[in-house]
Amino acid sequence: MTTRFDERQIQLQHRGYPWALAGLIGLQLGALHAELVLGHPLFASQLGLISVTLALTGGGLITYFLLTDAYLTPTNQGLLPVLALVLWALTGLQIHQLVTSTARGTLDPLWVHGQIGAGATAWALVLAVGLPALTATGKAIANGTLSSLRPTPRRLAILIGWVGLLALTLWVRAGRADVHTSVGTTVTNFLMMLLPLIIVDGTVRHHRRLALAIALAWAALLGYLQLFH
Amino acid sequence: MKNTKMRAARAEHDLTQAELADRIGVTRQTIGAIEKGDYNPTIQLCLRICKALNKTLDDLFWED
Repeated sequence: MTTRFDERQIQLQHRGYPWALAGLIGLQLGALHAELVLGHPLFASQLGLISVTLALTGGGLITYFLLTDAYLTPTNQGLLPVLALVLWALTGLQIHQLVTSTARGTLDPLWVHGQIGAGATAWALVLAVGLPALTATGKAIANGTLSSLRPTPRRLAILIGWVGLLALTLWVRAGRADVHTSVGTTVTNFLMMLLPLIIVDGTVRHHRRLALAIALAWAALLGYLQLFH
Repeated sequence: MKNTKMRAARAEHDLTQAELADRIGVTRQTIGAIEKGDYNPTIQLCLRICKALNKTLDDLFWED
């Protein structure tokens, strides 16, 4: 069964994409022309300019689609709480990375010598994922679909199994002097490996096989990186 | 302008917005927007709604 957006959603998407493109061009032109006022480029690097503007317009576009219920196809509307959960997890991971980088002193500065530094990309990503997460959660609450995330025996079993696997990994690693990855990184990796399972759990039946294949591939890749690198 | 005829026809069939949306392959929000008059559907969607509710285009979409 193919899933398609309905005509109202397509109409909203056709409205959203040109606005996002206009926003992207506007932001980039604005940033480039700020040089005329400031006397020097606003962004310290071209990469920073491109990544920050892309993150902001991309996040804005997804937020607009979520606000107008045009992000998920009619048959996938029930996935909204799962999407919100995944977006919150990604926001959490991004914030975690920001906090740990700040603590280690490895985070690129946000503002340096009167210019927006490379660190701005990390903050723009928090906005780009956090704003859709907030919107998806608000929509799920308004639609009354948030209750679909309630704990079920299967979900509890997955969670208990996952926590057990994490505990076993940490226990095995504790006895090996040649492993230097921090506990925080291991926990983060396990959280990332859990994301596809969350998606599979919430995926509608006709997508389950594909989602399961992607989830297993993702888990296998991260598992390989976690255990052997 | 609100489409009260469509809302009445839906109630006649004892269908929720979500159930009607499911039958014709659109989102519940699209049905809500049509009933509230916030969205003008294409003729194809009008026909699908009419078929699902056993009504004619005049019954549901012709303004008196």
